[in-house]
Amino acid sequence: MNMNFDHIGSGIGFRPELKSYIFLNRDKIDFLEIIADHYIDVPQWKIDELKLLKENFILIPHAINLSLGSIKGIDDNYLNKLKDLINFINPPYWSEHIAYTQAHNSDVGHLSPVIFNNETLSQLSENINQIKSVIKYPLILENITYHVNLPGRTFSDAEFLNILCEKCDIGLLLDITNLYINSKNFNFNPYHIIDNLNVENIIQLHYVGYESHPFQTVDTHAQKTQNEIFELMEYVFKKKMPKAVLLERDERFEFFNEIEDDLLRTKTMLNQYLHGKL
Amino acid sequence: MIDIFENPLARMYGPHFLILYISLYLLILVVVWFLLPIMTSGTKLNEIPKIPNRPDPYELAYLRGGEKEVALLSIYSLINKNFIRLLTNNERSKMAIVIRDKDVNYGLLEQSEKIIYEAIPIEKDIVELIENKILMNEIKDAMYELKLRLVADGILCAEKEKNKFKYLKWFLIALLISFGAYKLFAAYAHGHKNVVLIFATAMIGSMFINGININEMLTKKGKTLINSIKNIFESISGNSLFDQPLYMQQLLISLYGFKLLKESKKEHFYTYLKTNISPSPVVYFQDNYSSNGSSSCGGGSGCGGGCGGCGGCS
Repeated sequence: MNMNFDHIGSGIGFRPELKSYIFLNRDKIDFLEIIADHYIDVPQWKIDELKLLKENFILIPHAINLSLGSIKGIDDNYLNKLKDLINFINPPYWSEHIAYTQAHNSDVGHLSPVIFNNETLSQLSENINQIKSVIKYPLILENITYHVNLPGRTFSDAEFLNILCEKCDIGLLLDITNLYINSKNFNFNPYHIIDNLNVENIIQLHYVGYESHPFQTVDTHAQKTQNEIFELMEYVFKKKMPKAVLLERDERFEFFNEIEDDLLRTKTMLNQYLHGKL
Repeated sequence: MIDIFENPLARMYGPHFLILYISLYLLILVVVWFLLPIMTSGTKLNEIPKIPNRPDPYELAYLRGGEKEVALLSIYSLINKNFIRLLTNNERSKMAIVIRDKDVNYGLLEQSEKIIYEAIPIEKDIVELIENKILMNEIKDAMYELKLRLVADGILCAEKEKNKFKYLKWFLIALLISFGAYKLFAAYAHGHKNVVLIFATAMIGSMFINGININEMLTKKGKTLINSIKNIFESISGNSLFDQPLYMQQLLISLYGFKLLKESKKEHFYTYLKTNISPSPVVYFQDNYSSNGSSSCGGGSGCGGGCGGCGGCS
């Protein structure tokens, strides 16, 4: 898939609560990621909001409900609505998750991990091909957190992501916070995963702060980004500059100074590495 | 020779002609009220404006209510910047402002704030200040460049568009009067004298149509811009105004008016303005403190703008 577009820069996930701050801090924000599902089957005022965002920012749609890991395949109706939305936005690419959200026609209610084995690869490949036949824009997929090490796994995280990207001709949305959280919960070295990833597949990064509990590290999307995450980000930058880096904050919006600090730090680092490499 | 008063129209039964004439009048009224502003528009019908990086509260205040809103926002800002102090009297009708500090760093003030500040010798009632025509003209002059830019950016209607509207309107009025005059002469030629209703319809109708002005209305692009800015900042308008930095307070007040001070520690200021300050004669968009209940459809004669009835110059 053609991923030959310019570097987009540093962005933030659009949430309505952040709207005023996003517009007032446009110098720190190069693009916005919108949750695609928030603009499907919605009233006119949401469409107007989307038009307003599109007019003022580069938008990247981020879908959450295609349920790529589902055996039952992709819901055509939903896929077509998603296609219309993406066509309207006309983004450089769009993204989804390596996960399933539906099983036996029921909504699971959250992003559930898939088993990293050949069977899953085949299923994902089949579903992705169906999607690519409908949506012509480049697709990148995101790694998610998992809280149990599912039995039946035959590939490491890095192996699975590499094979999936190659087999399906897609890019990788590397969520470095998810990677870090998984590494903490399952006691592995996140740098080792990055070393084993085909970094050429990395198109975008997601990051946000994590929350530490006594026996678990949790992805709440509500914390200021910790140094460990920025160090991981820098490690990726040293290997390959992603096209875009996005702060994925979903809560505690009132602490906008934290968000501002995160955005500024990312942008500074991004500029430093981009200019160093260009 | 052809007798110009020998045709079905000239011979038409008076009440029937009156119905026809009133229909024509209503048609012209509809055209002037709704269609002409659209016809005289530029080509920017579907243009979605870019939101400025940092919307200027004074620009928005000007768009919302002309010089008067700029002056009131300047007073509010000067109070918050500690340049002036409000002297509140128990009687709500008296609220004066006094200079707080003589050593002023003018660099901290916007142009309209400077004008207001300099107009306060020691102590001045707000009403006196706002109703001072010389002062308002000074602010108007200070806003002149802004106004030109708003026209150039397609936010406010351009002069030529307003003129186009005016000439088309006068042409249609002339058409209406000529048609009535023709019937009037025809009626006289046929010996009828009961032409008062035609005469009255022509006069009253023409005056009414002439009263419709586009004045300095927001274009469609301007309306979209205002709605977009409101849409962006509505999420914080619900928060306590005083928790926001001054810029944000100015911005929210410029968008929603001083009614945001309702039920706050500064409610007395809102109540005072509501009670003592007459609505601005220029209202490009609504939501000001004077808009609750009454239509601030100013602009001198007719529908000044923002009252929704006469469209816009798009």
